[in-house]
Amino acid sequence: AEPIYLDADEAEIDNVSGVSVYTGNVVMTQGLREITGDRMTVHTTREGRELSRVIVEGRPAVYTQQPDDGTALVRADAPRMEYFATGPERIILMDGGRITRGRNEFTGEVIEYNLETEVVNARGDDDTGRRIRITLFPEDEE
Amino acid sequence: MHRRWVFRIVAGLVIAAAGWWILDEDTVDPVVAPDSLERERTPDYFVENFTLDATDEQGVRTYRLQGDTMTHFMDDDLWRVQQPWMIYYTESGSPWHLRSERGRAWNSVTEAMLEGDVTIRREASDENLEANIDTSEVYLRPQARYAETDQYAVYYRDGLRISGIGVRGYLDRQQIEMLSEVRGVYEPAVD
Repeated sequence: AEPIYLDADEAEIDNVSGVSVYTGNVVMTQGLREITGDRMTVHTTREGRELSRVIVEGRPAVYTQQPDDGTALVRADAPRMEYFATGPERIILMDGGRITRGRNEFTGEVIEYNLETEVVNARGDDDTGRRIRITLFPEDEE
Repeated sequence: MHRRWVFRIVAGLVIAAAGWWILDEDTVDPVVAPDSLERERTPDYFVENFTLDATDEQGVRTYRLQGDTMTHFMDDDLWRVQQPWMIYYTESGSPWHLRSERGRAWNSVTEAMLEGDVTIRREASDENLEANIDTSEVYLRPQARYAETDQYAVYYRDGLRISGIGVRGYLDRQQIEMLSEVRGVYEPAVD
């Protein structure tokens, strides 16, 4: 795995919990992946050694990944998203997310995108009335 | 005849030099008043290999200051310290150790400055993570266990390194703020 870089205007580090909060033009990069947002709360493992989870808030928060096999760019956005480094490595889009790959698009209240298997799980929400919508262009998949 | 010419040339040069000096006098920046700390002052006493312990109203130790020498200057109640080692004690977790090549303290040591190769270290404990901060100078309010710099600084612990320009350390409540141009690097898990 590659190191994860976070660039921001400011950061606050809690030396007890190991949580760091980055604010202002926050950009998180790891290899060909990038997440941007206004605020990122970074959690580490109990010993504080490894990044375990990142809560991203933005207007919107945006995830992009350029697959290294040259296939279409993956892009996801939502007001809030969480990145999990393990168990499996994934992002969860919340409060109404959208994920696109080329012309294919998923929208829903909550969308989980497994970064290892590239499987998308989406669900709606009765309260907000937001339903899942999937737009697929089959020929794009060959 | 020859001597008269020499005299005229020399006179001309002198006048020109004088003129330049006068002109230059106006254009040169006013000599900056020597920094008050640099003025020749009289140390009234000094201590060597000292340890100074400070407590709060309840008698609980808040910080300790140690060093090779501490010289007090009567004129402006200034202490100059060689190889200062400041220890901040907190209610929970390990103490913070702040060291540098030299330091200054004033206002009855309610304020201080560490300068030159400043290192801030804290060992891990059940209640806190390890912490290391490196910078070039830091301003302290020891009784409040506060530290601040406007210089480049790096915070690091095992697997993580965060750098930035400007830091505020509220070390009593274990909170560190990086103020600008922040870059964090999280190393991947070791498989």
